[in-house]
Amino acid sequence: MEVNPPKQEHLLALKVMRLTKPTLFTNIPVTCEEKDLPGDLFNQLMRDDPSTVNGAEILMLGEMLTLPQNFGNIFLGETFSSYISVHNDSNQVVKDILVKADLQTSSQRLNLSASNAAVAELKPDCCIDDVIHHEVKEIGTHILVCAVSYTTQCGEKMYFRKFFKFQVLKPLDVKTKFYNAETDEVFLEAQIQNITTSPMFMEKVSLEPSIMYNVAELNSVSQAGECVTTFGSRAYLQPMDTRQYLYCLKPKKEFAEKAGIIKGVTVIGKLDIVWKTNLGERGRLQTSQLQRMAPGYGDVRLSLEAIPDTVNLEEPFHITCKITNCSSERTMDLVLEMCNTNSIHWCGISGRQLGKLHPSSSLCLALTLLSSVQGLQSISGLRLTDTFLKRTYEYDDIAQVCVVSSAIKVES
Amino acid sequence: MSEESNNFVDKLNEHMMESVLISDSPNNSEDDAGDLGCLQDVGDPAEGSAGPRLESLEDEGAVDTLSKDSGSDGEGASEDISGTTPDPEHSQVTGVPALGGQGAEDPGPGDRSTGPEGPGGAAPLRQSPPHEEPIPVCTIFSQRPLLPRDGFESQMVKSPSFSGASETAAKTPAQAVQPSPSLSKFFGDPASTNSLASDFFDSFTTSTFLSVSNPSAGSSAPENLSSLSAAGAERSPGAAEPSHPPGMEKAEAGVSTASLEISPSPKPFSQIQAVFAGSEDPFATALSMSEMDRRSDAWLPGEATRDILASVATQQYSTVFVDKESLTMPGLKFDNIQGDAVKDLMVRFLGERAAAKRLVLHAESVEQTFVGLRQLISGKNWRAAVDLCGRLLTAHGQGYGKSGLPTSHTADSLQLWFVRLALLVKLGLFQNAEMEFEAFGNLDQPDLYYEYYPHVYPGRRGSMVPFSMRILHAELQQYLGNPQEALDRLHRVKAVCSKILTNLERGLAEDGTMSSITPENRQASIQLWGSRLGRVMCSVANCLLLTKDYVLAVDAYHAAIRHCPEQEPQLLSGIGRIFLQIGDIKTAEKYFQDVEKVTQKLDGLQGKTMVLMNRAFLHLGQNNFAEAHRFFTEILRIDPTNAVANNNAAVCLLYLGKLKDSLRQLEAMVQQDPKHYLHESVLFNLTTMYELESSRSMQKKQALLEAVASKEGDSFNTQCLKLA
Repeated sequence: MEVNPPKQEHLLALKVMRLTKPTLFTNIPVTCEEKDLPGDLFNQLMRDDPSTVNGAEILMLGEMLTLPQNFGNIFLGETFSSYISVHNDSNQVVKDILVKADLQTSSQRLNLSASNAAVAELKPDCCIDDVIHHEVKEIGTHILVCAVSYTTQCGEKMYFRKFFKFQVLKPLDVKTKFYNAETDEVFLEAQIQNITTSPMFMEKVSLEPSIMYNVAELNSVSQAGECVTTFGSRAYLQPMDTRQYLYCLKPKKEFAEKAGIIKGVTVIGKLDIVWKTNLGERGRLQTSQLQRMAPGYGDVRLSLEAIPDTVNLEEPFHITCKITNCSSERTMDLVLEMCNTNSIHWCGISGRQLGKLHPSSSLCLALTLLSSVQGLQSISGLRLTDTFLKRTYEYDDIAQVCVVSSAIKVES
Repeated sequence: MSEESNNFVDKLNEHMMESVLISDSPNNSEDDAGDLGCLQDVGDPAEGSAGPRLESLEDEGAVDTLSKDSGSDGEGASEDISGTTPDPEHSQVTGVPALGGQGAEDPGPGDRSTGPEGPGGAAPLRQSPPHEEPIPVCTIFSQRPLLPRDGFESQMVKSPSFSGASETAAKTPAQAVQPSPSLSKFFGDPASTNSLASDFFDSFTTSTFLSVSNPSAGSSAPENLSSLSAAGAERSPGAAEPSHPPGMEKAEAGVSTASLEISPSPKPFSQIQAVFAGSEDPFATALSMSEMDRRSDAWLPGEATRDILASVATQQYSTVFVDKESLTMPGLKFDNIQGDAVKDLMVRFLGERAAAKRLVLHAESVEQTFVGLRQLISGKNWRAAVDLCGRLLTAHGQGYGKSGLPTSHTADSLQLWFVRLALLVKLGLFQNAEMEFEAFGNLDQPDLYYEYYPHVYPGRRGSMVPFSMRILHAELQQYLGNPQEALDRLHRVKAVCSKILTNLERGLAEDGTMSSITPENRQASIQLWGSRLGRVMCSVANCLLLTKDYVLAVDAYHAAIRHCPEQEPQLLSGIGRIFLQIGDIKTAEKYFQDVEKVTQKLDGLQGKTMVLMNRAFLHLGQNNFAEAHRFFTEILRIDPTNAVANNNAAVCLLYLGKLKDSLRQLEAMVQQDPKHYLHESVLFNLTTMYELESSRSMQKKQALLEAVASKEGDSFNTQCLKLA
């Protein structure tokens, strides 16, 4: 096969048309009243126009379908459909026709033809038709390569190819943000922006959690027993519109208890997005696994189990802390120290032995405090020292309490 | 309507854009390369390192490449395209390498663990070593100082090829026909000589078609007039001559508002002169205001206009000076747009001889009256009709070059303007319409009211501007790409309609004056203004639809249903189609179900057709072309002449891979009743399929041109033939 075949008349013609969804014909309604100069003429013209809606001619959006006018845009996750027609333009019968449609992307080459079998013969003015479908999975340049080989009546083997190039664009911009709640919950906020040029109906935006989490979608509220979306009546995204979705992830029991397991970079899950555009043209994308940096608790994590929100001035109150050994294999021998700060004072003995703490295990610690100053006060000054490694861990500003004068009755 | 475009004109022309066929590579012999928009030609693709290599690849490796996830090309397979799960896994949003970025020799399939984060993710930001200083975390939310300011991290890779590729340039088609100075020459005689002009004008206003604008006025009106309505004590020179000095209206006393049921109408000027010679009789003037005129002409002028009209009415025998600014001085702005695109194409493709057979009516080939005008309009020779309107207006002294010159208006001249402008809009010549509409301002100038001409229209009240012209005036703006202005104007019209309805319901006349109206007349008036309100709501909804504000558009259509309950099933189906267009199939289905409930009450063909049509559309929305085709065919079984079902069934056939069947269906339809089915949408589909069928589409298109030439008038939009 020559690299540059000389120009020659082929007996067959290959035509390709992208099949986006058809569009509805819109007409321009112009009406007049009986009393006006044209009388009923304008209205009669509109009634005679087959593209208007029978009985409601003023309605602009008609029912007549028109074929796509141009290639349009194609977006990642949509399905590329195309009509491939090979027509015998000549007046002789052509034999052994093989039509192949391949899609060349930047990374691979796919065969899209429904059948790879050759057609035995094609009479003049007859067609070989094929409609190909392909869900596009890559951004960037795609080339549809159509190759036609056939044999003429005099036995000459003929071959030609055509290339059709198109760009696959990105339809959505997805941004995420994590919030770590003090309880081990994680909140995921996802902003999804429509960066296409047409309105987009979001059929499904769901978070598929990884094995460690359960997910609760926070995008609907219960109104009068019915689940109502928080997005109101606007079910679609205009071009460049962004919508914010919120999810709450809870670690499953078996993972939550072993607090040490969820640390460092963890996989949260992925967003699964299904949208539809003109006349139900469908697209679907998934994000890659969303990852979160679990808050670094270091070797020893101190978390609060219980604390009153309001306390009386100069009256002792209790808090409960949970101390977890987050290291993987090191047993710790911990000593608790307390440095008094300006307002909140620790009641008890400093330098208390907490004993040995095994990896991934935790202990609960009840402490008594007393505040000498009113207002919102921060609890600080807790020190844990691991006597094996002689390493001290400092815990400041672990919580706030509101301190009120004892004259005011604290409501339980 | 699917593609985004700011300019409405673009949207309207969308269905006439260039072919969808993807162009060839230049080294192929077919000569149809290059007619396509979006796809560029490619030579042998660089990526595939030229033909021969691709060749061998496909010959040997065809089976391999069939499997989606093989990534067997080895060169830079996307890291996210994993082989582990089939379907959507492949289309990872992140991690798809940007086009040029295949530097990495990536293992490819099934390797998510090694490259978990797409290159564009914020991973580097967060890769702080996990074992740094212990951070006590006891505030409710942890701090993430390293993130960007809004705290969001992008989850997608920006493809360098992406930016700028999506926006289709908005272009404004140059549609304006330039005014040509030759027109004044063309109409030299009537335009320059006043007497001639008014004679000419009279000739048509006195014709039997006088009744077109005022059905209640019989041909005997002039006789009635001379005896009954002897109005002005003094003859107004301005009333007789179209171009009189501004603000020189003479007013007469005692314009009674009482209405009696005799209905003379605008009179020819010659008669008016005679009339004014008579003696004053205030009661007679009252007779001239008919119920029907009052009902349909009623309008509420703005405050400034109301003041001027009041002073015209009260200042008898003295002049009222009206600022030139507040007068309406229209004139033709461009030469006749007479022309025949069909004939031009015939000359080009079929030769002079064939073109000579094309016969369309011209402005001069019909009677120069309203009769001729109607003949041109119904024969779809709208260009000629626009031209004829121009001639008639020229005769009235509002011809080319007369813009900005003082003139007077009659009900007939306003009707002529309305027809001319409406036809320009129908022809899609929006800029032209806008140029000539400009002189009319907001259609509220005092000289557009009957009260301004007490001598000509004694006792008559209300606006000369046809209600439909107000709608047209508002809607024109949306076609020019100013939907906001269109909405403002529509809402002003709506406000007046509502106010008039309130007046009527409170027992007043339309304009809020005390008046005794019989209950039947009041009911008729309420009905008229209710339907006008519905008409405005429909226009509002259409305009909102064009601006793609679907939520408001749907609300507006619901409001329109309240005013036009007889159109409920059609409008509900329309709302359903809006949701289909957005892609909200579920809501569309809900509306279609509502339609089925509503149509249960009315049996008959129309209801059944509507239900079947909606079901077909629903299947279309679910990508099920086979079922959609079944329902469209079902409609044809009960209504074989249904053009929409015929066309839509043919479109479905194409999507099912049956080009020849589809063509057969459309061709049969056009041959069966060319008068009806040579519609541009059908022809557009037909020519598109011809182009897809073979390289010899030209002959077939030319055959269509011949069919069009024998059936269609000069207003035919030839773009759908895709010959040019």
